[in-house]
Amino acid sequence: MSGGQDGLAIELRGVTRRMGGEYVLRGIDLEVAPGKLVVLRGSNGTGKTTLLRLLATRLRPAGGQALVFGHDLTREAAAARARLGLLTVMGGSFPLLTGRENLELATALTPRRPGLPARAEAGQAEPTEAWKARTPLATLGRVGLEHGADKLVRTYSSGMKKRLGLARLLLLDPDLWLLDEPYAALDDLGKRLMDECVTAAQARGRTVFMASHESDRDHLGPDAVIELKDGTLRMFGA
Amino acid sequence: MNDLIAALTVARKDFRQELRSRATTVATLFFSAITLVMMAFGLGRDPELMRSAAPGVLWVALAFAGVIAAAQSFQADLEEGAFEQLLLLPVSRAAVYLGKLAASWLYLFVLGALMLPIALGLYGADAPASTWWLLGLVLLLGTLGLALIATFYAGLTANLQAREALLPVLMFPVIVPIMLGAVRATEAALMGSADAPLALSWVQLLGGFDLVYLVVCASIFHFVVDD
Repeated sequence: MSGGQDGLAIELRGVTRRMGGEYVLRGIDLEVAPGKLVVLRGSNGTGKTTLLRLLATRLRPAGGQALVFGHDLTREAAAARARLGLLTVMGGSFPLLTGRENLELATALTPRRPGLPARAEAGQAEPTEAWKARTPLATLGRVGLEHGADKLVRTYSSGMKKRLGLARLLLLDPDLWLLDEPYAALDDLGKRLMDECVTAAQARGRTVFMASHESDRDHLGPDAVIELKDGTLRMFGA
Repeated sequence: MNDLIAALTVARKDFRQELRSRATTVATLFFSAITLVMMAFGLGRDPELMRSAAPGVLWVALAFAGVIAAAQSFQADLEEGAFEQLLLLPVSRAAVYLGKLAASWLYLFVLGALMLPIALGLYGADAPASTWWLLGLVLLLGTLGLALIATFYAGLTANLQAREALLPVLMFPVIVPIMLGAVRATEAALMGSADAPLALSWVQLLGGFDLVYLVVCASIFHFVVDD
């Protein structure tokens, strides 16, 4: 998984974390190079979500050092957050907003990433085609939610909420995709869509770190499969 | 990201949610009105006592409404991990706090503007037209103070099981200066123009506390919402 010391997407050195008085993570060491797809396995309650939330800056390590793209997750959390996105099990959308409004909120609060298409090129009054393809509505269409764009999220099924979370990731397209059980609640079509999006993200050079029980998704060809057990990581397969 | 624009975006989201659920509107409107009526019954028939109690009862009703509004604001966000997703975006915690504060403040101010004439009518108090502007100013700064503290402590207790009980316990000791300033300034404003300088001195106190609370709460809100 290592791609050299400089420019690692994820770098963990002896990371520990306690939850409810017990150590869930007991000295995690991990290096993930940019552009890699890593699958994290582990039984329920072994700390997969804790590790993902720690990488997403929502939990602080109790000990050790955690870096995302060279940014220390304790001291430079804001800089790290600008380069990552987390898809949670429940999707993480506001139930009293519509799908479109949820995406508009996310884009309104996120500065435009360098390299993404501008609304209009210099001298052009109309939005560019590339920009149009990245609007909230177009992105909802990509995940099969165009019909639910203007419905409140509280009327969505679990699978639709997961698709909306995926749409948010597609729209913001962070450098590091953190996926917590991305296939949970999705139907077969949704699982294939998730596969396509993960593959496409990796092709764009994004790093994908996914916690998943779905062993039948191995056709994605992960660069590494690791297992979290008793608070430590071990190589499971590649 | 401009923090001001981010704060306005968060405030707009809170408004939009409230317009759709009306959960806070219904709860606080009825709660405030019932408080005013129940206290009127409790105070008896002495017109002078009723008149003098009007400012205090009004601000107590608004303080409780502030607790409900702020708690509800975070509760709606916490469903399905949406607030965590908001915090994952590259937006400053101060902007999130200011956005939620703006929504709570405007909401409390409108509620106060509705409750003020009801309280005055119910308690037989009179507001001279010459001091309406002063009452408006007191309402503006008083509700800001309540919203500042309520929003901060609602964020602090949002993830706790006993949040409904803890929020008022934590909040009320801190809002004593705000309550004191708001009640005294309202009393003075109801006395007419002659007491306007006295009311203004209380308004200055209110403004001072608002400023201190604003700076402190916005500066340390990241300790409240981050691990």
